[in-house]
Amino acid sequence: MKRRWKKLASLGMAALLFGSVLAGCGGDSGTESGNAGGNSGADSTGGGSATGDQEPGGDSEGTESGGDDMAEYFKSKDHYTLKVMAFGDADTATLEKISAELSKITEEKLNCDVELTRIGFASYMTQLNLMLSSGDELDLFVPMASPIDYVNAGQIQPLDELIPAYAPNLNASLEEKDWVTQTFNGEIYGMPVNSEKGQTLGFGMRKDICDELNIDYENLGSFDDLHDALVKVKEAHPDMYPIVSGGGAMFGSDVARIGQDMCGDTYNLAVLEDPFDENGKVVSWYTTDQFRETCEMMYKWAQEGLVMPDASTNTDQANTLVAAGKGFGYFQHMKPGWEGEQSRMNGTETVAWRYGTPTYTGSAIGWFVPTASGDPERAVAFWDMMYSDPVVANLVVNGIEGENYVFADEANQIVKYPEGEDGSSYSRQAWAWPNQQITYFWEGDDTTLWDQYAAFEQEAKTPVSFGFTFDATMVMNEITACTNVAQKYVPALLCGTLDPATTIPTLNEEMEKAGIDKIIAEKQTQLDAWKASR
Amino acid sequence: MKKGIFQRHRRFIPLYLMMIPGFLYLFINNYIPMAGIIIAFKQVNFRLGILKSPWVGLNNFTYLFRTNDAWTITRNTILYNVAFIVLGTIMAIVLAILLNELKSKMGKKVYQTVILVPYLISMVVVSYLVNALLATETGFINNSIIGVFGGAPVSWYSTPKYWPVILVLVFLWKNFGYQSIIYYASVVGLDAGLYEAAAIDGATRWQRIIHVTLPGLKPTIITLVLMSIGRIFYSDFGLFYQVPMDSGPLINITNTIDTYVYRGLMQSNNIGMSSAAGVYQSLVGCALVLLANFIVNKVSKEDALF
Repeated sequence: MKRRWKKLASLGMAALLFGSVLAGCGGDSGTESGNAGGNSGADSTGGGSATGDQEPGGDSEGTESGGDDMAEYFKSKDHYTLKVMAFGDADTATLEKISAELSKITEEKLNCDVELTRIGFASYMTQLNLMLSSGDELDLFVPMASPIDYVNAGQIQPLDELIPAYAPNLNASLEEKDWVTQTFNGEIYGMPVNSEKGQTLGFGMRKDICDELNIDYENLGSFDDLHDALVKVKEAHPDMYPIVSGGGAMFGSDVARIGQDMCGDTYNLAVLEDPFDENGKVVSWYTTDQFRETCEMMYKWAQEGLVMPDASTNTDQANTLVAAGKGFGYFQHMKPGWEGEQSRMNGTETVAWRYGTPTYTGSAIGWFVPTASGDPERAVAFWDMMYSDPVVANLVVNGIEGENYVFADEANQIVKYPEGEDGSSYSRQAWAWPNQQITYFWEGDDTTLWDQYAAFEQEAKTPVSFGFTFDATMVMNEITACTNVAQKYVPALLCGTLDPATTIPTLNEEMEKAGIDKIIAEKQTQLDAWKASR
Repeated sequence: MKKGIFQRHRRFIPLYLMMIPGFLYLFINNYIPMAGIIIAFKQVNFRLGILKSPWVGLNNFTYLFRTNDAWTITRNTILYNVAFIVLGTIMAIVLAILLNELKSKMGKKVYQTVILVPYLISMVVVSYLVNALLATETGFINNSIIGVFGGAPVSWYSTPKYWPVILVLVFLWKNFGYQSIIYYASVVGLDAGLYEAAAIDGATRWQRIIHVTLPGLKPTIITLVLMSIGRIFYSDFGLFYQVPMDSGPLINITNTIDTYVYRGLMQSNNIGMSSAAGVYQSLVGCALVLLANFIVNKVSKEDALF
């Protein structure tokens, strides 16, 4: 008996010790910004000063009348605080100020406050998934990848009825085909942002070095030309990596944009190799020549020292590396005005070589309302304000005048960073917000940019599978298994770290075991059915 | 005459009262969440809520066994933990004894503090310390060690074969100080009379360690090892996820159950499948504890946990 007690006591002590080890975990890094009411100081963006003369987003008459009814309706409801989340870095103090400014406007029209949260790209997906899985209250967010998983898990709600009722401006300005990208399983889930509706492939690089080495960046004809240019860079600047990756991805995060058509999802497993081939069959992307050739090229370039080492584990964004003088160029998908946007982020003038066919994507970015939202009506109504009200749009895109931006040319509505500011307190990701086309132009941007968007949209070719969404619920097990396999090899292959000659066969063998054939067959069936129903 | 149950146990009442907070903590923190096991057997739909989501049987588990994943993560988790337990215990005991042999009080304090510091550093910081050593282009090892001897630089983050050693070294560096302090506390508590008696009988310092200190430590060693075997199916997430920088080529060798569950939940956002991996972890872990206890029961009955 005595022996037993002693043993239990020592056990208890040991348990305590281990317990204290475990107690260290937990605690989350939520960026809870307190409610910033009563901010009376800085008020410079008065309602009258913003311009509504850039015409998109429905007519202003409608806004007025619809707005009054809505204001009445929301007055009768309880006061609420909308939580809005978007990506890009911003410091808490700035967010509180902007939230307070927004709240002044929404208080009157929607009888609610707004609380803005922004999280950097690197941890955005993780934070968002965590919030959605834990049922945290969130009312509006913009995802970084296809929201189909959220749809299947019931984490976001359909908006078919809410949009016509509470987002009149959005509803009035869109055509049938603009909803295609936001429709899943027959229901509209997303509110598409007003941005470019197509993309092309490209390689962006520092202009000063191109000039110095006489690289004719606009007229590079092929990857061989690009290769020669990169070799020149390597020779002239041995301390600079000719190609850098962004957050461990060589061709854009998550979505490898090499020319394949991911065909209705963003898993990048079962794809159409040629997006424009009417009779194209669904295949495993990893068995295509396109994939193999890309990996071989990158491997060769990496061997020659043209790619940054550890590219697939690099956690910095390409922009950070270029801005720090460590990188010369990087692959990314392109749109009109890409150079201006990137020059700002890189802190040095950036130019691009575009290749591949301009492809119509529809409004690729949409905003969603989580199922856990306490007030989806106000969420949709506030989104419509960001979409149609230039004052609100400028607040969310540019921040506060005098602090985050100043006018460079007030007559033409052109703004720039104030002295000593570089966008780190409120990073500008205009394309991610509902309507960048009613906000101020940034200094250096072409003021004909929106016309270029329209022209680009005309020029872009529409892929065969445009409008098709893949319902993956039947093959979720296979997709998870295949994604786990892909994760092991694909980023490193595309960064040129692994030898494709030995790795691609292993990859494909494991993919087969993981059941990629079942995914391909299922997608082909769904695609055929969708084609037939069109 | 037999006393009633109440009377026999009356004097323990204060002890039972003292146990209540601990039991409450265990119940709230460890038992209530167990209901979440049902998530592993459901296809969770947040619109329907967990209870109303459809049952899918063992469907969430199939992906684990479709590839070699289940085998790989089980193997990694167990082998790493075995290495940690064996090497960690040996190092900690050696260090505890060495600390005990130190005569200078000041020296003891300094050593204790110095070996404890790594334990207090966050794994994220550790991962960057490791990165400073291993980065291909700027790392200390490639630049200053291999470089000086004229070897070719190694791309550490894409060469799996070095990582079992690297991870074990990092673990030991970080944890041996803390463990050795637990053992040191036991060593200090040993009866000084035993040492004196041994010294009078002419035992050398080495003989005293072998014949007095180590037998005295035996109960502590068995308890601590059993406790760590109980956690053999858990892994230090930071060590296996942060330190290898989540590098794809290393996944086969660094993926443990915890990182697998995390990747599953964060990347595919599938809560059902992640829970399935969690349930698998609990079942195998439970089986291992029973097995370890069974073996201890055979070898030395009074040291077994139950």
